[in-house]
Amino acid sequence: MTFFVVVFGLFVVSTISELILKVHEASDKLIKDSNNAISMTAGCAVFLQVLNRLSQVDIMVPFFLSFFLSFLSFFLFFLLSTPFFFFFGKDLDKCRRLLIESGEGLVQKASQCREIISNLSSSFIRDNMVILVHSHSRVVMGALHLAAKQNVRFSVYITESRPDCSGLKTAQELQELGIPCKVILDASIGYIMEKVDLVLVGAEGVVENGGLINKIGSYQLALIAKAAGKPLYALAESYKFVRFYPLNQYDFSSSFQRFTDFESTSSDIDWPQYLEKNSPSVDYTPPEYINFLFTDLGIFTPAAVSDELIKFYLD
Amino acid sequence: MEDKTVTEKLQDLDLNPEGKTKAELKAERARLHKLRLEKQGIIDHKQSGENLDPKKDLSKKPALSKQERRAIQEAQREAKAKAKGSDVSKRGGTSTSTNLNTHDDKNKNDRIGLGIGKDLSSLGKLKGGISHGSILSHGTPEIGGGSGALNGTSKFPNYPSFGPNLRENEMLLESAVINSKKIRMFEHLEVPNDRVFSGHVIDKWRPSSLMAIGYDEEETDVNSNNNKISVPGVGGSVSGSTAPSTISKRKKDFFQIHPAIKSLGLRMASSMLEGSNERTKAMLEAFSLIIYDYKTPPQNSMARHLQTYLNPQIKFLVQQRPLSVGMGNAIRWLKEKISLVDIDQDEASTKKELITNIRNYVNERISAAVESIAVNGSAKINDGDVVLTYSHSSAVFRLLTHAFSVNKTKFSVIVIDSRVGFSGQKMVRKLVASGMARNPDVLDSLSMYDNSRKCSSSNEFMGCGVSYALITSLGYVMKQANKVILGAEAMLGNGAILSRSGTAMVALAARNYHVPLLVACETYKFTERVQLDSVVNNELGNPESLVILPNERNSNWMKYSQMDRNLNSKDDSSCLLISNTLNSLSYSPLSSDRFSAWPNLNNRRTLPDPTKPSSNQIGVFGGNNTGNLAGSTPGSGGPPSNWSLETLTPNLQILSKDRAVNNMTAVAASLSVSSKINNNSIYNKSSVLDPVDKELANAKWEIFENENPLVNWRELTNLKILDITRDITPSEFVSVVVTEVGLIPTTSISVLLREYKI
Repeated sequence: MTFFVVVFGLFVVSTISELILKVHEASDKLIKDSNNAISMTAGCAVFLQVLNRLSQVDIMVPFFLSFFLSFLSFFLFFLLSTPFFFFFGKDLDKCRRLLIESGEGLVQKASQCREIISNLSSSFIRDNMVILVHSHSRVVMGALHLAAKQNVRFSVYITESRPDCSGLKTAQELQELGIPCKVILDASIGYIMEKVDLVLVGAEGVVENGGLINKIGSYQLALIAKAAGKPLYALAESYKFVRFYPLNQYDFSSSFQRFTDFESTSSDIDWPQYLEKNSPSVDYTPPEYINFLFTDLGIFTPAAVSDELIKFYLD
Repeated sequence: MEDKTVTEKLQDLDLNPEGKTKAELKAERARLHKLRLEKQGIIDHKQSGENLDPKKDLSKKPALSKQERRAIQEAQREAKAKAKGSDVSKRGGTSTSTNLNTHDDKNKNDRIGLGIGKDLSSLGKLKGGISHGSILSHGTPEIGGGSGALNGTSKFPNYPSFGPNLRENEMLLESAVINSKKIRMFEHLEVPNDRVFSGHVIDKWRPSSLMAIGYDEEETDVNSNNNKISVPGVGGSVSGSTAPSTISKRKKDFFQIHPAIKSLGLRMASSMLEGSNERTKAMLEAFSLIIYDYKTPPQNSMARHLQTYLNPQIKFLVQQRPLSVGMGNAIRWLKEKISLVDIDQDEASTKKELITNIRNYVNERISAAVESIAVNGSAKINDGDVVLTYSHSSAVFRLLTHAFSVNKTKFSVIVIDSRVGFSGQKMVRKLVASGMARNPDVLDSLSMYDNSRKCSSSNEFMGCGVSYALITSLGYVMKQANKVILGAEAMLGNGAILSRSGTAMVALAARNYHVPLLVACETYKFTERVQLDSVVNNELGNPESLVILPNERNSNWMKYSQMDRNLNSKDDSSCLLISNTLNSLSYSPLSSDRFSAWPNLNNRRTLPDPTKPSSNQIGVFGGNNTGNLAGSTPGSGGPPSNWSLETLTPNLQILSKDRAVNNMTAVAASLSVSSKINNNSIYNKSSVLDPVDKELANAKWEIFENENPLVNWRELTNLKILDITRDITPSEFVSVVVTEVGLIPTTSISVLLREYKI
């Protein structure tokens, strides 16, 4: 996001529509190139919406004013070859400044978001709780960190979450914080679920119906949690809300889903020779498996996500 | 006995004081109105021109001699009393009669009988010497005095014979009877509950608007009268107290109804105009015509008066057929727009503004909405998908054709259909016409090697195809679908769908097989109303259409009566027509043959055989009554292939054996026999042309009765038949609602309503 705003400052444009076009181009490229497509999509969409709104409300008023003025100036300084551009440029500067400010605001907000979410969710973590966490998520880490700082004593199970084994990273950080934790295999979620009081997951994106798009394995975790009757809370910043409505697991556009290579752990079979080893990197968790969403806007039921998105994008 | 005197008084009050002159004036007015209608091109010239003469006779002759008029009234009263007597004696404690008789207001009570008696008698009058009263088949004991009134007309000897106009008149009458069967949607909110489910509700059948338009000026009396008293539980006291004045006022109102509205009402009532979008568009068009023709009366401002002018028009429309939710929303919107008009604004500019507004509403909220729904929704259809849809919906059709022709997606469609309307056949026909059922080879050459799109499922070779199945085979077909797309008549505030009955079943099956369900619905159909089930509020269809099997229904009793005439006049052209129909009805009874039309459904691994001529890929599943669909194949011809009034309208009722035998010729019976056995060899022309043999007809009636054991259901007091036309699908069955503002979950409908006042 920061990168995006910086790049944005470097654009050389002469009209607002050209500016919008350029931003669109840039965001498309970013989404294509990033390895976290869904959250990038969400972030870019937020930025574009801000741009749209600015160009409609804040820019248009001075724009017409300057149009009028430029007519005047045309008569006064008709020696100037481009009186229109002169004023346009001035306006665009203002627009660009506004946009950069709002972009930076968004970036700053991102870190504040996590604090708000931690505050909201820490009260749900109580003494002697056993928490199951999937993969690695900064928001979840923040929440656990805050709870630990408030002297709540709880223990954590972490899934290994192959193929990238990001669960190990979580385990390492938790150990540094002094929180008792254990790493389990992804295959043993069902076995461990009986002991667990609470399941916490982060999200790469929150889709329009309140479902999650997250690291592969979240869906089966949610299914098992639902079957075992354990609450599952998703922690996500509101800029991860994305106007996208998957109907099932295969309804991702190809840019969202990525297939990754993974290594075998057993050495005695020479399997890469004849087996395809592509694994999807994200999956979609339908909203009915999610109890609550903790966001910087408050604690939501999944249905409320759509309401927020409608408010944001349809205004 | 006392009742009669009260009626008499009422009659006298209504008719006598000003005598003939008034009546003549009214007749004149009616005729003028009819002329105006002609000018609008609503009734085509031939028909109306011929009808004009008998109408004159009708309206003037009774007015000439008072005694004759008296005689008719006398006859009606007798008949009514008779009917009432028989009614009560026959079905002593049943719901209807108790409702009528226990009511305090005897006045009103009486007028129910009177209204209907008159109503039917007028029909009888028109019918006159035409034929055997086959049309008047709803002169049952329940419908008071119908048959009696018929007898009454026989006391009227100088009745003019219609001669060459016979056919046209009968056609008009037929549609009149059909219209009279339309039921108001909210009626059972107004009447005690048990009346809804009994088929015996007398006043359920609306009087026809056609009758009201111009035959006899008395009709308008009856019409308004009948409308008012059709609500015995609620409106009774009101109508009882101020009878004559309101009648005349209503009559006045009636003549203010704009011809555009009248034609629209008729088209809606006769099912020529179906589908919420189509109806709303047509209604708004009619309203803009009204506004265009509107002249503000002196000392009135348009902003104030237009509203009151529109109200009776809307009321008329509601009488013809209950408004859909979308239409209600559009009307509310229009009224709001009218109320916002500045009082001082001049007429021309106000009209212009309102008409522009209406046009914009149609464009933005309906036409453009359907287009963007198509864009939004078709993105969810991927290559290799099997999309299942139910019945006909304009939005779903646009969505599918957009996916097919713009996105070039390769997918196949299964259209589920059900009785009574069989509107899925319309969908199939439109899809086939749009090229969806093309040979997959052609399609493959178009887009198979397009690398940018990858098939999401393994059956890459799955071409496009349209299949057709009845709702009874849903369990089998649903397994093959991987998306279900449905249309909706309305989205309720709690996220439930209000749609054609059967939708909930499809949704339930989709849920059971974990198939995502998409609902395409424009936001103008959203409503804040909440309804927990489909019984609390529904539109009732004609119960008769449930009783008679579709075979009979498709070949239609109207045609039988026509054929009767043709038989007598030794004109066998229509017989030929029927034989064509029969030929088109017959198709291979072997299911394997039918399935082979579409190999993918037969066996998912089978690839389409390019050598097979499969230009028209319609698979027909499990239905044994798909007459109209079979008619769709090019070249088969025959009446069912065009969606005329006859094929769509419910057939007339057959209420008693005697009458049916009279009506039903040997042809009709042999039709039913041959279609039952599904063997054309039985059916040959010679049997058609045989003279009507009473014995034979009796025998055939028995066969017919065997096929349709419920034909006499009205005579069985404890048998109730309910044809509800809408149902409610709970919101949890719906995966996503496709609207013009994007894809939203059902939970957001209330948000859209609240935040954006849609």
